[in-house]
Amino acid sequence: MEKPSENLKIVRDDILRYKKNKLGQWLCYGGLAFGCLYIMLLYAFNNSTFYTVLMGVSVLYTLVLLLASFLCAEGVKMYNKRYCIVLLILAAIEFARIFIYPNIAWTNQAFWITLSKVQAGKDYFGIILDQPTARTILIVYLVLSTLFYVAAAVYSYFVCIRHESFEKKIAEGSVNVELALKGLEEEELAAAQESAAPAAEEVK
Amino acid sequence: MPSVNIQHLDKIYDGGVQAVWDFNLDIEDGEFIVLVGPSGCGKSTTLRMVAGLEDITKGTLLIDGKDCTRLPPKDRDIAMVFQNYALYGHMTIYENMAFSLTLRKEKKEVIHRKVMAAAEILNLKDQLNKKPKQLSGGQRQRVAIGRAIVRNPKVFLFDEPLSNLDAKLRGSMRREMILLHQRLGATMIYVTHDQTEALTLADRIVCMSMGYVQQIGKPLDLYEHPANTFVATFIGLPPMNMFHGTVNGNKFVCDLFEYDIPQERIAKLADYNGKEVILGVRPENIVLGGKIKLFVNNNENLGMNTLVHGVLGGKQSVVCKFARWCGYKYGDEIDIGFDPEKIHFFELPTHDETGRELPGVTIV
Repeated sequence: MEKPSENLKIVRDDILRYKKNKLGQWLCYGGLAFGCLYIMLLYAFNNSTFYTVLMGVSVLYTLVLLLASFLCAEGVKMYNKRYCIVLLILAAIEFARIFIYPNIAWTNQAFWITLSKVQAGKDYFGIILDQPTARTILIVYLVLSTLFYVAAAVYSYFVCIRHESFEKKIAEGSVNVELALKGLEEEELAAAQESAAPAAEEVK
Repeated sequence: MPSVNIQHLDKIYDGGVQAVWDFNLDIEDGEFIVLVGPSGCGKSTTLRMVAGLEDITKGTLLIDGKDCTRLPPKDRDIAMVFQNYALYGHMTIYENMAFSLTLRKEKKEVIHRKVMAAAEILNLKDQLNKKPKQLSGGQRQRVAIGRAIVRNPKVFLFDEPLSNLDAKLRGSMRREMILLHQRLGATMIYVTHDQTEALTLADRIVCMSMGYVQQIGKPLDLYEHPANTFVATFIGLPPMNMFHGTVNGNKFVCDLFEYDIPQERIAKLADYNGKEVILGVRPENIVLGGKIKLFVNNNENLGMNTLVHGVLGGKQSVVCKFARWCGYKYGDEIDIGFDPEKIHFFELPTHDETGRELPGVTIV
């Protein structure tokens, strides 16, 4: 793969000044979506004695997760790198959750969530869940949620750094975007002429 | 080769209403054409047919020699700017300008280069991160124009783009349009009902009425040599004064006054001796100190000019435009005459077989 020219690098950095960090934003929403799927499955089948007082805490945390995720999504969209730390904290909590419900409950059949629901013939998108399947799905949701938050945090952090340093360069006057745009146009023209030359030779 | 070639274009709507009749026009590359006329004259319909937003009922449309009569709008390589800007409110100015190129899946660096170049031309660089609602009307219209520029189309189409702006802004945008045309050198078709816009912007004006082309020509041609009474009264502000009367030898005779026809025009009016004609004279071609008595009923000082409104013989309204500050009052009586070089004679309006009124054709 060809190495991007200096002009191309400058133009790519300049684009960041006019475009929002949409990828970081959508990665956040991805983490939130899988977190929600986890919660929906857990609450839909939960009839165990595992969540008693903890149920209230779980609901409150869910609200915090929703709010924090939305704020982070908006924050990273505007290249605010502080939100990357919040995203990493959310990722850590989502990962830790694996060891709270699906895992602890796994060791004690009294906490199995699906038992009576399965007996009543309840299903999850057409599938009658047994406890091992429910556990696996819950873990997958939490792992995916964690991965999305981590990806959002890491990607956004690097983009924010790039954006910040480019803004600094612009303020210092050490880069000239107009020149880079002109240079890039000339490079594109040269490349187009180069690619047209063999075709012209062939015609000859 | 003309950039746009329109041949015998007709538009008949489903209900049978014909909006455009036999429209013919050859537009040269880089020409600025203005379609002007009152509401409902078919100018916007014609433009929309060129854009592909209306089906062409009959006729042919060639753009750069390519038959585009039945082509969908996206394949015509044209860009249109609308009166209401048609910007996406949830997108930034940058995103609005880049939108069409994003749809074409152009490289983001290329899009950036084109958007920045257009923003530079239109002086919008500082507004690129704003949303349309944060901009003034003039700036929004510039964004709409910028969106057209980035596409680098063969033809730019403008459908009354300045009509939503206030008078002052319209004036400055008009000047910007002229500069833009000079800078881009692109072919532009511009629709307006404002004859000031038409006169100031156009290389050539197409004056339309009731779906018919009345006259095509340079702005000065339309102003000094109108083809008929419609063009004479539509182009020019205030409109031309019209007097119905009869040619009687070397005199034009009407109920209100008699006017000696200039020597060089008598021969051309020989065929109309004893017949009814219309004498037309623009307000600025009325001079003080003639034989006609005008009863003044209004005096509008505009700074450099004064519009004096009055009545002849208690029934015919006349507007005069004097190039000085006047202080006439209601009830004053002034003597006026006409600049013999600048008067026009028209035939009386007629009717065709469908009952449609045809404007009186220019005699001399």
